Amino acid sequence: MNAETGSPQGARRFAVAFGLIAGAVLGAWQLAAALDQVERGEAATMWLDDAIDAKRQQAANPDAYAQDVAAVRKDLALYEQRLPAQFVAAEIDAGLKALAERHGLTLGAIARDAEVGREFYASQRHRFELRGRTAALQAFFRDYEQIVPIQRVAELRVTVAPHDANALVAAVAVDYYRYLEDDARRY
Amino acid sequence: MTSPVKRPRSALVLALLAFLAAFLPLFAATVYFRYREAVLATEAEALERRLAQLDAVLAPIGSIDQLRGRMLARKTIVDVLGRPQAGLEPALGLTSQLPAGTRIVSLEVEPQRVRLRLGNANDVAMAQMLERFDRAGFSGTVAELAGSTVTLDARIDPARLASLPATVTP
Repeated sequence: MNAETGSPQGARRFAVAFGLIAGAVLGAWQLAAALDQVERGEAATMWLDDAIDAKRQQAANPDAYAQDVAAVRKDLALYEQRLPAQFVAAEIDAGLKALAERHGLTLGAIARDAEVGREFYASQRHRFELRGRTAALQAFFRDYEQIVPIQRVAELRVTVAPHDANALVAAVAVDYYRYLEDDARRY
Repeated sequence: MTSPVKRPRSALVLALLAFLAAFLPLFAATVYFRYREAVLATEAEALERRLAQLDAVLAPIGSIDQLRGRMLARKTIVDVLGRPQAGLEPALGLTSQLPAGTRIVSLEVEPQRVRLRLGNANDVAMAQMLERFDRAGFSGTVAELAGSTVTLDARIDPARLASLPATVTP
């Protein structure tokens, strides 16, 4: 019989080793969980300390704080223009019409697909036709990229205009985007 | 008088003793850290109350954290969706550079590809348009001539288009 495992002494050694390992594993597991909670608690109090320091400084100088708030409000307003909370069809149509007229293009009817929701924003495809010269179309799209609200051309199909070989007809599909506020994230 | 016989401990008792020897020091440390966790939680509650008081003082002016959070949430999306869209202008420019005698059937532009179909075309016109696609900055152009219609299909590579000098098409 094997002296290490088969004898009573071998069995006792095995029992001691098993007890040590089991105790260490269970103890270490509990300790790790407690340490993790302490680390989280320390991080939370540090964050709160820093936040309180910052708020104290802000409260001590309300004029400077008001200026900072105004600056952030201004930035927010710019981003709200680029990524509005709602699609305002009348504004989109008016913007397209004005831009087309500026470049001497004829704008056809504007159609809209159903809104498609993502996690934080929704998109809606707008479809319209433009008719005019190549250079005018190029200029239109150069300016169109700069307009607010934000949009991206998804498809563009250009053909020669019927009855006018010098003009082109561009069928355009553009995705407009809007921001989904927290309470509007139903998707 | 006989001396007492020392009976060897059973394996189960030894295992239990070994378990306790390994576990108890770690358990003691765990108890300490659980106590520390409770102290930190109490401390955090007091800090949160203090923070709420300061927030109440600043509330009439506005919460800069909330405003900044809303602004950054939009900015993150705008930075992605608002990237310049490459390919539209150079693709439209191709329609004014057609080889003599050919006519445009259609030009299709999508975010990553451009396709041009020309009528009244031949091998020479196809070669000319291939060269113009490359000069316009499109990548991997594939051309196919079927009858008198040539189809050119290319990828839009924003990096390559950005590296080219800006051209103005009349």
